[in-house]
Amino acid sequence: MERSRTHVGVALLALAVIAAAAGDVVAADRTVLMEYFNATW
Amino acid sequence: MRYVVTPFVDDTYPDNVAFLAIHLSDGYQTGFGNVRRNSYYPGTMTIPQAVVDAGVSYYVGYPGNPPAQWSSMVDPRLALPTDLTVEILPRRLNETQWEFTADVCMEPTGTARSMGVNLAWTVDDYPTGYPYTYRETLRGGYGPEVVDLNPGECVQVYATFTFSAVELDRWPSVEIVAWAQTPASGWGEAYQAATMTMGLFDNGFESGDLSGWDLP
Repeated sequence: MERSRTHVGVALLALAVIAAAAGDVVAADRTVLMEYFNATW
Repeated sequence: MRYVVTPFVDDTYPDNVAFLAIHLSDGYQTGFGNVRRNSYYPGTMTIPQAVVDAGVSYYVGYPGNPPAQWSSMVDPRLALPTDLTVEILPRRLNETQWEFTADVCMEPTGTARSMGVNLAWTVDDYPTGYPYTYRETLRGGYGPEVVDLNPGECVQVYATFTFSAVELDRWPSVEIVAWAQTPASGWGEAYQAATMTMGLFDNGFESGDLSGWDLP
């Protein structure tokens, strides 16, 4: 029983590591807005 | 022929700068552009003036100024992470009208907040008859529509644009721009932007005219 509980704990730890890696979202690439106020000349 | 700023912007930032040339007081101004101007400068303003990411930085930039003057505003912004994505989805309504959807999504790790979503369109080589070639000239827009967004959620903002001969004669150069920024107009921060060229729809497919297509 004790051994089984250890296995479960290891499995949960592994799942937590996987979940953390999956949650490490790569930041979205940014597009910058440039408003250029001008007039004909 | 001399160009105004945009060749540098095109060459250096072909995919990650959304450029709006907003004409003022020269007969080519628009209601949407005037609102943008008035929100930044309720009184007078210096022309030209470049405003980056809705006011994070700005610069009195004349054509021919060293590229570093522009890149020094753009590069720091590109280096910053953002928690939003913006995608533009087109839908043709008839010969002159299209509906565009700005699909704004917040990543699961983002920060819930309100934001103003805008859509606009530009056209190249307009106006003509001047010593300069004017590119990506703003012709109209919609917004800001203020929305609330939570992490992992998306929101859609719709705008219907009616194009005239000015656009239809220059169709491949028409560009749609969408962006999300701080809700209030005026000095603030743009979080994310996107562009889409209407040149993608220059083959007649949308109108059912396939005469220009090469069939295998």
